Formats: sequence, structure tokens, C-alpha cells
Amino acid sequence: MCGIFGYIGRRKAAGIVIGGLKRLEYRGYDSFGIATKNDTLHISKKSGRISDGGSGTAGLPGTIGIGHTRWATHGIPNDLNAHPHLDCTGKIAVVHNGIIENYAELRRNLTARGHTFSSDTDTEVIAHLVEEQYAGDLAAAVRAALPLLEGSYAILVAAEGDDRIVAARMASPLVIGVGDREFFCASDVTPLIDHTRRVIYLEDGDCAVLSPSEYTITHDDRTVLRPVEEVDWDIQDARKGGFAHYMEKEIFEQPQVFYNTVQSVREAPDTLTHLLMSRTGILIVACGSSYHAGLLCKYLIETYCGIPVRVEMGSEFKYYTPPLHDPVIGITQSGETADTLTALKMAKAWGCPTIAITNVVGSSVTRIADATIYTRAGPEISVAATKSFMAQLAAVLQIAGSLSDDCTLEEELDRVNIMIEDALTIPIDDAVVLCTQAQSIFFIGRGLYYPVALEGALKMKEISYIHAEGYAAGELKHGPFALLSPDTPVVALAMPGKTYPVMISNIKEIKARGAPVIGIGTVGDRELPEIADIFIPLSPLHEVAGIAMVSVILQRLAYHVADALGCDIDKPRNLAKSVTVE
Amino acid sequence: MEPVTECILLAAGEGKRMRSLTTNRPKVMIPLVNRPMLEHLISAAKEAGIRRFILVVGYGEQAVREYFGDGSALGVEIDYVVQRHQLGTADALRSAEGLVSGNFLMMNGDMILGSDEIRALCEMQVPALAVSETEHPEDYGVVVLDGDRVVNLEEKSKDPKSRMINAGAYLFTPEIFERIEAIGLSRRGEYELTDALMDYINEGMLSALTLHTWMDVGYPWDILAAHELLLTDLERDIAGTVEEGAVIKGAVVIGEGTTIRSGSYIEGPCIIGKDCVVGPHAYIRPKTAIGDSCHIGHAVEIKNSVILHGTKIPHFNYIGDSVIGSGCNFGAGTKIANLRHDYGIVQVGGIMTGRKKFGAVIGDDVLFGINCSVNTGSSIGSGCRIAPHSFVEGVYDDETIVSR
Amino acid sequence: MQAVILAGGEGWRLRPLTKNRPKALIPVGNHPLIDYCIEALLKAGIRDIIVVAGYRREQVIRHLNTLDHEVRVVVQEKQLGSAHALACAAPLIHETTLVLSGDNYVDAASIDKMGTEGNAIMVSGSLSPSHYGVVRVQDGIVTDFFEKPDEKGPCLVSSGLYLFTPEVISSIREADLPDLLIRMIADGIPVRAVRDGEWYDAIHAWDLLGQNRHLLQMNESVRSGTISRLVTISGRVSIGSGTTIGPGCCITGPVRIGDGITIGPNVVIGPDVSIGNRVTIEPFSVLENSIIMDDVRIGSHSRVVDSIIGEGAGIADHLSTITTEGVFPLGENEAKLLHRGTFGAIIGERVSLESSVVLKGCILGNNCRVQSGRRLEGVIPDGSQVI
Repeated sequence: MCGIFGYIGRRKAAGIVIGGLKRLEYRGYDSFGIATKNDTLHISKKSGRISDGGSGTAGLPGTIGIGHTRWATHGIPNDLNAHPHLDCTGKIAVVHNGIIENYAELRRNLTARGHTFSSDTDTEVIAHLVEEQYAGDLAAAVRAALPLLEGSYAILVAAEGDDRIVAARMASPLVIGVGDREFFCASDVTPLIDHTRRVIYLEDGDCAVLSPSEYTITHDDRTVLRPVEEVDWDIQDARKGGFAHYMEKEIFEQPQVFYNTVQSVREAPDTLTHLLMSRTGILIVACGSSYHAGLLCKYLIETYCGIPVRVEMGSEFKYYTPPLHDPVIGITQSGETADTLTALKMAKAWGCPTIAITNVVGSSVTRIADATIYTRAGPEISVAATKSFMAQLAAVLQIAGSLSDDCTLEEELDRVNIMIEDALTIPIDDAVVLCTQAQSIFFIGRGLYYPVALEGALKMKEISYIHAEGYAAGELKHGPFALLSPDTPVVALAMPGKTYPVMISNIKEIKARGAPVIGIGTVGDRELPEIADIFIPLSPLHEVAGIAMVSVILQRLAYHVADALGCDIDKPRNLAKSVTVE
Repeated sequence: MEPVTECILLAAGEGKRMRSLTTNRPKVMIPLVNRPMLEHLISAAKEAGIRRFILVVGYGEQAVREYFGDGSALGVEIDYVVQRHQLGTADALRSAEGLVSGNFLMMNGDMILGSDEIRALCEMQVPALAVSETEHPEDYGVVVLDGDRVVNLEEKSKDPKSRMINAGAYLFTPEIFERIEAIGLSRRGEYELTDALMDYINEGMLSALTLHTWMDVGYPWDILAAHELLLTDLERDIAGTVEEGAVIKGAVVIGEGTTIRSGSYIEGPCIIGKDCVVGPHAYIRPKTAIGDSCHIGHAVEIKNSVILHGTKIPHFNYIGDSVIGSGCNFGAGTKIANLRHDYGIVQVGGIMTGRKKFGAVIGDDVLFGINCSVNTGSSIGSGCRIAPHSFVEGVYDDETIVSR
Repeated sequence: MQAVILAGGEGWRLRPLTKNRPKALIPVGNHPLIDYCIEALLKAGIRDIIVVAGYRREQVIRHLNTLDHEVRVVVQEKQLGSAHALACAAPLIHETTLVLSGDNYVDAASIDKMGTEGNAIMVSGSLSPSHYGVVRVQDGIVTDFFEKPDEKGPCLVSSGLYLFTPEVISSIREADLPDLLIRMIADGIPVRAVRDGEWYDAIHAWDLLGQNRHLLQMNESVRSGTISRLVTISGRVSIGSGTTIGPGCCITGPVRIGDGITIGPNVVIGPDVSIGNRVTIEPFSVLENSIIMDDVRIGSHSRVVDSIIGEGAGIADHLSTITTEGVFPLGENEAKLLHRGTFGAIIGERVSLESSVVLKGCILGNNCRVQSGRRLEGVIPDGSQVI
């Protein structure tokens, strides 16, 4: 959930490490820190964002450096808890991404043996463990310390008196970049591309020792060869241009993203559809917005293809699910979501075929799953998922379309991009004003629009910090009705279809309890404008376009409400883009 | 003074003007006389006393690394640095900071320059800049000289003040790195070498060496001109098998494993690579270079053309004044025209080639059906598929399909 | 040198084509007009480019983000006029600045002619100055400036290309650039008049056709996609990637065809046609002197001549456009004025036409739906249902 970056070579390390961390900032931005080494270690760490305070540390000397940008798991985000962490002697520095599950026990034992801790983090135990094992050889010390750790980690260790970086991974991502008389390590490929195309993906249990001229990788104390792979993609230009926020920019990229994803999934090999079609059921695991895309996938495949589908949250999957045989689809934008990865690994162990739907080429999930479907959203910088959700929607629609006998769905998909264009320009000012004053907002829908309502509520709460709940419209009266008041606007998704008449009666019930209603419906609807306080008319050509259009309207609603409230839209408090801890 | 032994070679560019020939290789790896352009330059520099090269690579870097390795095959030492974003010459130079120990050469990798002139540049008073006289100064950065001192540099302009142009070869001291750093990013967001040079010029310090053997290779038709130049010194060397009844005239090089079958007629200067099969009854005319593992079959005529490795031109074909990529296959009877009926200068994609006779530029892995006609001045992208009996003219992007 | 491109104006005379975009984003020759401005500036060596966006600013920004060259964007929150728009960019300006209108075509040579010092305005001769500002010039210096005069006859008009010093830009209090010029003349600040540049402005939607013809002259002919060998192509024709052209099609340049398009078999296109991306043109249709925007479908046996078809329009078979000269009321309510133009049809976005519709000099508003067999002329407002 944090990002780590290391450099060893012939150039000044500090600037390179800071540059690398900036590219990893989406993984966390509570605090950051770097350690560089010439004859001695030089440490600089700060709470806050690297993009705000990073330039101040670029002057540190040395051609070896490790750095970290943090999303707090243990200990509040402050200067003290920022990485790198040091041992008692101050000569060993560690940066770490992951969670050491037995850290409390380790810490007790280490304290008993006389070690002094200066932070609340789980990471610091690693520094002290390495210190205990250190007898002149850093690599040996790290290798000896690793078996004592339980949990997940990707670590980089540097020490005074040793011209090497030691890197190790277990259930957290770590990639090595191979340069010319220089090496890089990072949590993902993005910051490496600035320097080299040649990368080595470490595997769980690997420990790598890097010097400016060579590297060795060991696994269970045996030297192993990991292939050097050529990364053939460019960092797409992630400039914000004139948009106020990346989120706004990304919302506006959605027509193209939808079109590109449909086209690329359509060209995916038929084996994938055969795999899904021949089965009696499908299971989908995902978290957050991807989970909502999974729910939509369930409705679509069940409706259009008649195959039963289950959707599980990645974080709950491992506690309840009995062994399966059906194919398991993992949906994760980053490809690094820890819970989804764990679920896919379990499924694989049971012998299920596994399929990943992800946006990031070469990410961990693509190495686990048997097959990968890429969404073509391009890099998403804003923490709130918008275009990546749209791309997932496009992907699941196209999968449903190719599984279905009826080819009308596929034909309809070709026109959805222009419908999204429309949704980008429909005025929603009144709805924004109403929501800005709210303490709490309900989003309701039925059928296909239930997951859309969930996603709308998620967007609202994560960036505007207004309490928002998505409900299946029929469920509202089983409890939440008690919360309705004139201060709790309800966003009701009443698009045409068989759910429309019941939605209208639900809305009337809500109106009767005095809650203002923002009705999202279709042009030409006579009834909805009469009962809703604010009516947002859309003109979708068909049902699937309706899902995309309503999703866009709800994203824009959340965006403009958050903007009006002065929230930090691209980097909401307490959140990180991809959650690589369970 | 210590002799100059280190050279930075700029080899990071894609070479968009070379279009389909750079789909699968960077510009500096395009072969001239069956060896990459860059190898000619490295060999010449080695002869001039350079022992250590720093190649600044970027686009298609893997191909460069694989071919040259650590340089031991060429008897030199080669290091690489990567320039990821094409932010100008000075930025490329910056990426090599810390890798040179004394005065050093810096050269563009996409030109032809003889070893004598490289040596002369090494012996100049540092800093120095190589210049060349041209008929078309409007296409280049122009250098204004006063004797052997540079007094001004001008960007490309329609109305150049001099016929001397910047040839893209320099002699620098490591002090240049500080100067570039001191100048910082320009408003274009680039490190401008020109700015650093202007400092030297204002101090009256920049000397100029006028070159005579220099040639830059910018467009595909420059490849033909380069061959016309490089093939003049060719010496006859026949390593392959020549069947009885084949005629080999003049300076012809035939590689190992190549068979020239009976009835073929080959006029030098002309080079044919390894493991080719030529003929029977092929006619290969002067100034032609054929790469390794090519097949030039029965009743095929090839004139003043460059054909890269692995291309098959097997039956009843005519290829004139053309550059053909690697791995192509010509269907029986497919021909390339090379002369306009009005005898006008041939254009490719609206750009004048300066040649009355020019055929086509054809990328890698292009497949032609039988009896296709390729009109003069065509440019066909890599991976194109051309249906039988097609008439092809104009510019085709990579992977275009001409269907039935 | 810096440059400011004013791209904030809607260009209401071009409705219905400006529903979702300002005039500067209307595609002509398959590129938004603003692209030509940026290209000309880059060619003239000006790289510090600032774009002022206003109306539908998101669309402008989104488009600019797709370009190779990075430009800076300033937002004009309210469309208070061209000088006000320029003043919005004032904090970013520190040298002599070229000011262009994002919806006019101008070439690099004209930009060069403006020079780099002081203040200047590009002027050109006109026989019908009624839509422009008229400039009086003496010894190369502007002596008088007045807007949209009643008088007819040859005179010099402003072409919307200016050069201003940073001092002038920081002094702007006026709403419109003509007012600024009038003040500069009154204050004795010399404004050079630069003549004989190449520029082109589309006032009405139908003028875009002329502009399209003009810009297609510069068309590069690069082919891509899958093209049948039985297609006859002559002149400058460019074809984008992923496009399929079936046998029997006849394409006469200049024609520019975008990406992901399906055409034919047996479709006749050109000359002077631009076709956007993801368009489908079914067999036996004829297109000439027209602009077809993205995501349009044209059914079989249609005849589209001297026409513009907006994004996402779905047209069934047998559409016929008939070119005619007409007088069209444009503008809002009382401000409606009559404008004269000659064209076939101008069809807004997302219009849906059923089979066998005939459009004779017709401006069909956005989202209109027309039932089969109708024959329409004149201006049909947005959202109309013709049954």
C-alpha cells in the first residue's frame, strides 16, 4: 500500500529516488522519506506529500539511495513514523511496503533484548532484526532475518560500510530495473520506465543483492535466475492540462476509454469465451469500485447468457468460500489489490481456471491468473476510480456480449461512447447545490442500477466526505427509511425498463417522508419530473448506454460537490489508489 | 596534450523520416553495405584512435545492445546510456555525464564520416565543431564562420546566411557538462546545446573544422546515395559458390554460403551477403547491396537498390533504385517502376527525392501477391499485405492491407 | 515570443454544430480548427502557447491534452468578450505576444509577417466587410478602426491576428479587442498594419465547407487499414488505421478519411470530403464536398453533397440532399437575423433520419428525429420530431 524505490549506480541517488517516489505517490501520500549513502547514511523524512516537499531532500549526497512514500498501516502518519527506519546503531536503514503480522511479538522480544524503538511502525522491527544478525555481511544478515517475519513485505535495506542494496519480497510487489552500471528497485514498473526497459519481476521469497555492477537473486538460500523482461510500453502522458483535477480529466476521457476497451476485449482470443461458456457457473472477486463492476457483470451475464454468477468481495472470499471448480474472475484496476490477489491464488490452488481483468500491464495479477483481459483506461492518477470503472464496465459488457447468442448487445456497445459524450455535458447544477448542503445522501436503484447506485455513493463519500449510502431501492424501507428527512437527499435512478414502475412507487414513498429526490430518468418521462424535486433527463439509445450515462452523471455529481466543498479531490484523506495490504 | 580516445555517439533517435525502415530498428541500425550505419562510424573512429565509445541509446535500444555488445568484437570498449525522452542533443549529452575522463568527441550516429577527418577533429583546439558545405543550407542549422572561428549559429531558416552547416560532430572538454547544467532548461523544456555553444562563441573560443567526406543519411533515398559513395572503394571478394555460366564483372563481394547460379550476370560494384541464392538467370546491376539470406531468383533484374536480409525476390521481378526492408516476399511478376513518364524528379509523400530515377521504399515483412505493380515514389509500410494484381502507389502506413 | 489562442467563444452562427463544443473545436479536414493554429505557431517557432477556454472548456482542455505539444490553458469563467479573454491570460505573459482566434485559419508565413516587436494587427482586403472590423491605415500604421459598418465596397478588415506588448495586455480594461484597438489609437500607441497574410474565417456553418476545401489542399496522402485493390483512388486521399474500404469504391481527392471506418462496397467519395472516426457508409452512397463528423452512419443509396453531418447522426437509406441558395434566420428570438447561404444540409448531433428523407437547404437541429419520406427545408430547431 506504500511505495518504495531504490537506486544504486554511478549517479547521485537522491534526485532519482525522489523522482521515482513521485511516480509511486498514488500508492500512499501520508509521509515520505529517503536514505542515501556515501560514507555514511543520510536520512530525510517528512509527513505530507512528496510532490509538496520532495525537492528539499534532493541535495543529499551518495550514489546509493532508498525511499518510501507511505500509506499508514501501523502508527499515525507523522515524521517519526515515516520510513526509512533505522536500527539502534543508526547504520542500517530499511524501507518496507506490507504488514508484518507478528510485529508485536517481535517488538516485545527485541525490546527485552535491549533494543530501543523510535517509531510505532511494524517496519522498525526489521531494522533491529537485521542489526542482530549483522556480522559484516548485510546480505547474510537480511537473509537470516527474513524467516523471522510473518506477513507481507517488500523491503529495501541499505547499511553503512556496505556498498549494496538488499531487496526482498513476500506477497508485496517488487520489481528490479536493470540499467547501465546501475540498478533500480520499485513497487511497480511505472517509475522504472523513466530509466530502463529491462526489468526483473521478483517472486515471493526472493532476496536480491544489488551492487552497481551486478546483482544476484537467491531463493531459499539458493541462487536463482529470474528472466530479464523487456517492458514495451511507454508512460502515457499523465498531464492534467487545464483541468482543475485529474479526476475531472479522467471523467472526460471516458468516451474514448469505453470505445478502446470494447474494441480490445473484442479482439481477445476466443479461448477465453469458450472457457467461460462451457461452465456451469462463474465466480467474480473484486474490491471497491471493481466490486461494483463485478456486480454489473453478474447481472449482465446472468441476464444475457443464463450462466449463474457469484460475486464476492476479495477481503471476504477467503473466510467463507468452499473449494470451487468454476472459473474465477478477479477484477482489479491496479492488478496489485492484495485481497483480490489472495483470492485468485486460493482459487488457483483449488484448480479453478483464473482470469484477471486489470488495467496495468505486467502487474502481479497478470502473473497469477491463467488469462488476462486488459482494460484500456490508461494511467489513472486520481484516487477515486472513474475511467477505470468505465473501462471495467466496457470489458464486462463486451464479455457478456460475446458470451451471449444475441448479437444486438455487441452492436449497441459501438454507440455507447457517443452516449457518454452526452452525459458529460448534461447540466446538473441544481443537484450539486442540493447535495452540497446535505449531511447524508442515499443513492437508490434496482436491477442493473443497484450496482450503479452503490458506485455513485462510493464516489460521493470518498471524495466529498459526505456520508452516502447506495441501496437497492426496495431495501430502503427495511430500515434506512428511519433516516430520511428533508436534509437527506435521495438520488433515484429511474431509467426505463421493467424496474421503472416500482422505482416510481419507491420514489413516491420517499417523497412522502419529506426527503428531496434527485431523479435521473429519460427525456420524455412525464411522471418522474412531477414527483422528483430535481429531474436530470438522459437520452440513452438502449439499456447498456443508460448504465454508462448514469455512472457518468453520478461521478460528475460527486466531483462537483467535492469541488464546491473545497475537498482535495485527487488525493482524498486516508485513501490510497491501490490497496496492497489485506 | 593527451590524445582523444573517448567518443559519445548519439543513437537514440527513431528517425521518423526513414519511416517504414525504422519500424523494427533504430535509424542507426539501418545497414549500409550490409553493416549498420553506426558500425561504419565506430570503425572509422577506431581507426582515428578512439578506444572507448558511449552510445546514447533510446528507441530500439535492444537492437543496438545486441549487435554491438561490449564492443570487443570490434576491438573497442562500448558503454551504453539511455536517453528516454528525446529532449535534444544537450540532454543526450547530459545523460553521459561522468562517463568520460578527458576531452572527448561527440557525434550524431546517423552520418558517414571518414577516419582521417575524425582524427583531424580530435586534433583541433578544444572546443571545436565540424562543419560542411552544402547546396541546401536551408535544411540544416547554419554556421557562420570567420576564418576557422565560429561567429554565429542559426536555426534552420529559409534564408540562410551561409552555406556552411553544422555537421553534428564536436570536440568537447568535460567542462561542457557544467555549462549545460548552468544554462538549465530552456522555455521549450529542453537543454539546448546551442545555448552552451553560444557561450563559447561569445568568448571567441569555438573553432571549426570543415569536412569533405561528410554525408548525413536522413531520408531513404540518402541510403542509395550513401551506397553510391561507399561502394566506390569496394574490392572484389568472392567467398561463395559461383556456378559455371554465371558472369561476375568488376568489384563484386559475395558472402560465404551464397550460391550464384548459372546464367546470372552481376555487374560491380555490388555486394551480396551470406547464405543467399541468386539466379539462375538473375541480372544484378551496379551499386546494389543485398543482405544475408536473400533469394534473388530466375529472371529477376535488380538495379541500384538496397535489399535487407531475408527478403525473397524469386521470380520475374524488376527492382530499380529502391530500398527494400527485411523479410519481404515478392510474388512472381511483381515489379517496381522507377521513372516517371515526364522524367520529373520523383517525390515520396510530397518530399522531393532529388532523383529522376527512384523506385520505392518498402518496409520489413511486406508480402506482395503475384503481378503487383508498385509505382515510382511509393512508400510501403512494414507488415503490409498486398493482394495479387494490385496497383500500388503513394504512401501506405505500417500494417495496411490491400485486399482483394 | 508567446502566443495566446482565444478559444472561448461559442460561435452561435454555427449552431447547431456548437452544441457540445466551441467553434474552435469544430473539425474541418478532420482536425479541430484550433489544431491548425497550434501547428502554424509551432511551424513559426513559437512554442509558449496559452489557450483561453470558456464555452465548453472541458472539451477544449480534453482535446488539447491529446496533442503532442503541451500548451497551457487559462479558463475564462464568463464569456465577456475577446479582450477580457486575453486579459485572463495576462498573468502568464511576459513578452510580446501574438494573439490569434482559435477558430480562424492562419498560416505560419502570416505569423512570421507579424514580426516580433511592438503592436500590430493583420489586415486584408474585403468586399463585404459587414461581419468584420474595418481598419484605416496610413503609412503602415492604423489610424482608425470601426466595427461592422453599414457601408459596402472594398476596404481593409481586421483578420483577428494581433501582436501586443505585455504592457498593452496588462492594461486591458475593455471587454472586446476592437475597443482596445480604438483606445490604443486614441492614446497614440502605434499599431502596425500587416497585410497579405493567409487567413480564413468561417462565419456561418456553411462556410465550413469552403474552409474544409481549402484545408484539404494540404492533405497528406497516407493510406492505412484494409483497402480493396478494386478501389479507385486518385488525388490526395488519406485513410486512417482500422478503416475498411470495400471493392468498387471510387475516391477522388482531396479526401481525408479517419480511423475505424467502414465504407462500401461501391461508394463514391469526393472531392473535398472529410470523414471523422468510426463512421459507417453503406453501399451505393455518394458523398461530395461535405464534412462527416465522428460516429455517423449513412445508409445505402444516399446522396450527401455540400453538407455537414454532426457527430453520432444515424441516417437510414436513401437520404438526398439538394443544394440550394436560401435565406436562414439565425440567432436567438428577437435578435434573429437573416443570413444567406448555399448548401445541401447541415445536420446536428445525434440526429436520426429514417429512410428516404430529402433535405433541401435544410439546417436540422441536434437530436431531431425525422420519419421516413419527409422533405424538409429551412431551419428545424433542436429536438424536433418530424412525423
